[in-house]
Amino acid sequence: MKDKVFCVTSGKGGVGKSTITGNIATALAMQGYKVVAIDADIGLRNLDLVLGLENRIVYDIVHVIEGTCPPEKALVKDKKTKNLFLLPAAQTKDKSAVKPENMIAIVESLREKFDFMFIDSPAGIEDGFKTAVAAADGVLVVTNPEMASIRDADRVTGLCEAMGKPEPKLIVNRLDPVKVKRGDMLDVDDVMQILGLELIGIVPEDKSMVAYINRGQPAVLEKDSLAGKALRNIADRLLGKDVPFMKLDSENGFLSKFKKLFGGS
Amino acid sequence: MDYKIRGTNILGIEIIVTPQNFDIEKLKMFIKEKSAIMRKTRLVITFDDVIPQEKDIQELASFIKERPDILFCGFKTSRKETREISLQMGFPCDISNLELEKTTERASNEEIKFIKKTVRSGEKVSSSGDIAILGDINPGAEVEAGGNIYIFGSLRGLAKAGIGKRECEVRALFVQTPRIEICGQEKIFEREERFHNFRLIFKNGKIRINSTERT
Ligand SMILES: Nc1ncnc2c1ncn2[C@@H]1O[C@H](COP(=O)(O)OP(=O)(O)OP(=O)(O)O)[C@@H](O)[C@H]1O
Ligand SMILES: [Mg+2]
Repeated sequence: MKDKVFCVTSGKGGVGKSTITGNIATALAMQGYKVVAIDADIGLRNLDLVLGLENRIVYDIVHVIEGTCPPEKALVKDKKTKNLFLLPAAQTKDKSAVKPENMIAIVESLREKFDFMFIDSPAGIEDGFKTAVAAADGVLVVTNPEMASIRDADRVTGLCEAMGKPEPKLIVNRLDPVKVKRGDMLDVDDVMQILGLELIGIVPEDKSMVAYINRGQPAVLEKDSLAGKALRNIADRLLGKDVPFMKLDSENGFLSKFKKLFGGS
Repeated sequence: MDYKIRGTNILGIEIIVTPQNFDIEKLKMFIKEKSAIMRKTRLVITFDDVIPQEKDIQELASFIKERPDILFCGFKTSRKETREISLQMGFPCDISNLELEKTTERASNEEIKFIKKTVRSGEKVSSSGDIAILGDINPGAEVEAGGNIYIFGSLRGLAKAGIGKRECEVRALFVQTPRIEICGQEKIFEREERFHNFRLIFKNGKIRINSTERT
């Protein structure tokens, strides 16, 4: 069986799980795959914003569990991207409203009808995280290039191993090549040294990320966004394509051109 | 039949063959069974008071040759005859007085506990004997051994070795960690201190550190 259900998790909060979930799901749907993105961050729903679907929600995952409606009926269809569906989190409940067995039941009932499913995990290592991981075939661990986030990524990797999941794949998010060059940020190599996981993506820092969310338009739909390109590459790697990692050195960046102009290095 | 294995001085694994368990077929089986932990690891086979025949050595050598994952380094023995046979066959063979090694506290007699993974943040591994980690000890992870700790990777978390002992060692291919505990004593490192091919020995109440590269 090919992996089709992935959980995106990180331990630490705010490292970009929801952004990455929404974007990879969109990128795969753009290629014609039928994709569901499941928001497992009960009580702190977010994924709808990344996808620009916030005012289209009628039912949510807790309605499904309570039997108010079947899973298919709760799915929000994305108008911009054909083949993309969101199963929203409940905003008025807490993590205890969804148990691992509920998540597994929902995922299994949808599995045959879709090519990919992505579960956006809440931060932390408590029950909410465990529920999000429980139903997944594979795990994508997101980290930022800084120690606290790496440590948490390491922790969730150990917990996933203990839960019998295959070794997670790693996404390094918010890498800023200028800062790395200045020595103000850890490099991908430093991150890999500690985590030793298979790297499946490096997403650069993109100042426009917030603007994309305000527009309800994931970065992968932006032609000129470097982060969008990096996220599309992750989708391709999940499809088994051998995509080389982008060169992110600052030579091509605006700043370095600026510096060159003024005779800097 | 089981063979005793333990860590060696060259960051590898030593299988000890005694007169009681000397049987080439069974030894081959044993190596096959344990091949996962021997991958990319140096292997020494010790004939403790055993004199194998030429054909035994031949047999063993061709068996190991078929397994390119094993880095076979040669034999050790307590018997001159064994040394001569192996040298004739073209294999290095050290004379080692096992009795002597056994009586020093550092060479523990318990079988090593092998951990075939990286010990990650929040995880803890312990054993009353030696521990060999075929992976890293990451920041926030803890490994606690009654005996020695051998790390075939990086030590960035906490290693506590020689609990309740007076003599003990910690070895690692790479070390960058705030502290190591050994025989109840503490060794503190500077934030930026890094070591390659690291060896910390506690003996006669003193800590000694060897490494090939230190920054
Ligand atoms: N590559 C990036 N460049 C710039 N900003 C980013 C990038 N990735 C994420 N962000 C921003 O970081 C913030 C946190 O992202 P996001 O909500 O996806 O994280 P999260 O891990 O899901 O957080 P939580 O743990 O709260 O669920 C958002 O404001 C998002 O726009
Ligand atoms: Mg989120």
